[in-house]
Amino acid sequence: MSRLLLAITAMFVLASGIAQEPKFIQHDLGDENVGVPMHAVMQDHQCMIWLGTEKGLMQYDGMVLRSVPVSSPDTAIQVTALFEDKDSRIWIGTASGKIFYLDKTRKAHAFDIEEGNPAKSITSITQDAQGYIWFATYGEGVYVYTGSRLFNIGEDDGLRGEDIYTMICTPDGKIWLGTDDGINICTFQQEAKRIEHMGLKDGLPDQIITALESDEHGNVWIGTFEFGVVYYDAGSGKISRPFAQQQMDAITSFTIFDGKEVWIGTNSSGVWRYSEDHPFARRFENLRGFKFGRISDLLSDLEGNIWLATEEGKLFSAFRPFESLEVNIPEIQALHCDHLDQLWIGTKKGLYRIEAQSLTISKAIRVLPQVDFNIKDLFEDGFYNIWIGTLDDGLYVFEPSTGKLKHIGPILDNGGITIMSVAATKKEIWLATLEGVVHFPADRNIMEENQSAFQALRGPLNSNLPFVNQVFVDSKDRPWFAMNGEGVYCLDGNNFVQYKGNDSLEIKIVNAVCEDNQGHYWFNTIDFGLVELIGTQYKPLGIKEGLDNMSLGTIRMASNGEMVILHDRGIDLMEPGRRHFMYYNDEIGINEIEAGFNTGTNDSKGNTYISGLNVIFKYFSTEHKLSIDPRTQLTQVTVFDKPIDFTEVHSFTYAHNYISFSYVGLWYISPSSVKYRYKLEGYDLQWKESKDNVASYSSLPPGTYTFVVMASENNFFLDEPSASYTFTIAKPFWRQFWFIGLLTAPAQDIILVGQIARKTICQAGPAEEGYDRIPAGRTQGADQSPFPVQ
Amino acid sequence: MFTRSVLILSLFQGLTCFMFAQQPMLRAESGLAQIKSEAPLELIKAESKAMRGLIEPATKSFAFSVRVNSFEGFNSEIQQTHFMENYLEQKKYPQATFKGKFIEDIPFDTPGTYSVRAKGAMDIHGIVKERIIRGTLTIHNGSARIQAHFLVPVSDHGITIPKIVMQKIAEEIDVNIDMEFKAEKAE
Repeated sequence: MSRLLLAITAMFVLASGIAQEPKFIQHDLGDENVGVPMHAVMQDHQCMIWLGTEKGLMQYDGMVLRSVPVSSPDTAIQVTALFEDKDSRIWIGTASGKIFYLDKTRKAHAFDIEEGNPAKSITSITQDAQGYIWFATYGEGVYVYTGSRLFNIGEDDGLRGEDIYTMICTPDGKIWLGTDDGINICTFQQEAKRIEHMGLKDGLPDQIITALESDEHGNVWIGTFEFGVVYYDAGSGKISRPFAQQQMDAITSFTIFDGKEVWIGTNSSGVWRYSEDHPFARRFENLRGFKFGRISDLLSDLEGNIWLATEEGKLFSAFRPFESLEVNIPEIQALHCDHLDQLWIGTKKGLYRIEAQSLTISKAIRVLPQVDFNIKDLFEDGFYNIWIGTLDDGLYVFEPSTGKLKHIGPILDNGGITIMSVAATKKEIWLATLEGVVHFPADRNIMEENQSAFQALRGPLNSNLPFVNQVFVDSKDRPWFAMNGEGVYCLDGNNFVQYKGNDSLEIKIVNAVCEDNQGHYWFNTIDFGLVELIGTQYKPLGIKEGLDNMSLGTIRMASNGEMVILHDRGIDLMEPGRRHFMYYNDEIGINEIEAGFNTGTNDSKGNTYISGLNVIFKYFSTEHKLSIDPRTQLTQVTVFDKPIDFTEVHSFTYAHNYISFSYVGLWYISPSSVKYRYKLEGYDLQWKESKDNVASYSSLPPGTYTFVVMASENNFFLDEPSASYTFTIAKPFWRQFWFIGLLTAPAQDIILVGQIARKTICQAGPAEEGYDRIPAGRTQGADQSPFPVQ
Repeated sequence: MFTRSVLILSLFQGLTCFMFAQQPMLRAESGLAQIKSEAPLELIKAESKAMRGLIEPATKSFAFSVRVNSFEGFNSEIQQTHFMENYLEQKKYPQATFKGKFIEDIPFDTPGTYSVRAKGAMDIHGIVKERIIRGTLTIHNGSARIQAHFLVPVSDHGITIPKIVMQKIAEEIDVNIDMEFKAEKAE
């Protein structure tokens, strides 16, 4: 528990003034590691983060940084490059040129090869399509390891410079090297070295290439020493400048998030990012207050975190999918993304629009400052007019292209000054007022029309459908009306269908409706939390089912199929198919917020914006699936407190029956929220749950057992990935058949055996070695067990 | 026809090799090196006119050096002594050097002004740091002039400034180089 608190307190918020950026966390790596330069950061296939540092190889689980010795303890190594190959070996390059690797069971080995190791620092390691391992050096060119031999490619072979800053393997299997004289593109097939050159003549703005990164299509981001970033388009073979250089100095590293957003680390000008959404690269302002020096490496992990390792020994991470922007404007009551993906903000006192900046934080710009609208909802019609529904002054319509503002006022003959919600089907624009619902033809430009085109909706029971909290339009182009007292109405053609629950679930007040990718509807209700409507069946989803808070402010579907749920304690993401929740608060910068009521919008790319009173959150809807469960792995098995090689040892003597299991559930977004569930099959009748990451069993009787452990970040254990370990404890010799057989033999034999047995007992003891070595995955049954190994 | 082409090509290659072999070394004996420390409480300036350098055009290699005790100026004699003895430890590390290679291909036989970068190992106070320094190279009539301006962080070279004088000595020393190189005469 104290460790948990330590880890929580060890993470600190970087800056109070938030730009529209993810929240960065600086990780506390322990006093002994303060200022230890970091050169490389990598995540292996089991999700573990590995760090190459001036003090050697380190393993980081989000809570504790552990040193992993790869050579004799008195040999200090500086790890400069890390790479996990297709066989799950982790290759370790060092400043001295010496190479090591961890095999898939994570045992360390020196890379002993007849040709010897390089004599210069290893700057990068990669693997080509043939499985050859490439080692880039700073001073000796590049080495290729074919599995049996090590070849060198240097200036004698046509390489333009032997100081290799960076190396990548593109999807076509070619090796790109960044040197002082442009890029060398190499292949090595049947011991034939082939090198192509790309330099100033090919469009590179600088000869010195310090960073390279390839996307999944083979396009390459090229970082230079003095001229910023350029982009190689694999389709056209052309090099272009995707954005102006701005104030970047030497580029040191890249990482690509979700295939389209490139993060750029620099020597001394901070961290930048660029995507096609903006014509310029944006510098992370929240990091600027921290003196962290050179960014040595960047990593985009499987959970959606971006990691920054620095030469000054600092490690930062940020959960990329959420960004937040604090705005110093009146209370936010409405958000809307227009066709240009500009974000409009309706407040209690005025209309605002967000403007992204390159070198400063995004700003909320006041629009139409002469009018103090009290805005309840915003909407853009097909003519690009912004409809401004107010709480006390009816409807305004604004034409941004001309700056023209039209005040429509009340939109019902008797009322209609409070406009709660606006949405559009293909043919109609629907406006919910307190007195009833009104519609307007979507194909007519309201700026050229008069008020008479509005028509009141004749609702069920001849009412005007008053007290609608929200109008929602589904994928079948049907309007749904979330009622403040009568459940939900859906207008299907000319028929109203009411959804108000069943006998056991009477739905009254519904704040909002949304639809998931399976065509199920979700109601945000006051009494039951979320209610899923499948056909005519209702399935509530409340606190017991994982909802963090019954009082939900805004619900919204992101384009990746996840529901974004905003409430006063934070934001939940829910995967509707599995009903799997993930909770976010402090890790994305939320301590306490006042959740906005139905203040949500989506941009054209499916990203979701939601807001509190003075803060806007953006949920980035990724195209690539992110890991949503902690990855569990066993880290140690001990017998009588003595660690064993659990990848190989699966069999113990009857005396070695006090066994402890250490494990970790890797969840870097919020490592402190991880909880474990474990069971020793063959012994435990039920699962046990604990925050502790060690489980111990004493006096285990002979038998075969499987220890299974899984981790959860949200206290729900559904189909979380698990780790397991199967082992056998042998029967004592006096319960083995041969011994019993002997007992039936003549008396003199019994006496003789008795003497042997006495001797055996004297020799046996719990502190002794007593493990059989049998291959992993094979356990030895007790019945076939030979003598216990002494 | 093929034989003729090969012959012409061989002649051209031979000529190129001959020209490179003939390109003389460039030497400077009395280059100017100016240093400036601009701290909140004090401005310190000093210069040396004894900077030496050698450029080998054929390989793009260079080597520059300056004796630490050749710097003159400072605001007082005692300051100079303090700087030389306590910070730069000139008795232990009498020379500051920078040697390496030019990044760009430089047409040493074509007069003109070129922006070039010199990459190499800078050794000050016995601690070597790799640096890439941009400068201007002007070539005319068989001579070459190099001018460069760069910063040297004192911490890069293990020079520790006591806290008490931190406001008097800058963390980065401003350096200006101006060197005139002459072609070595063939013996």
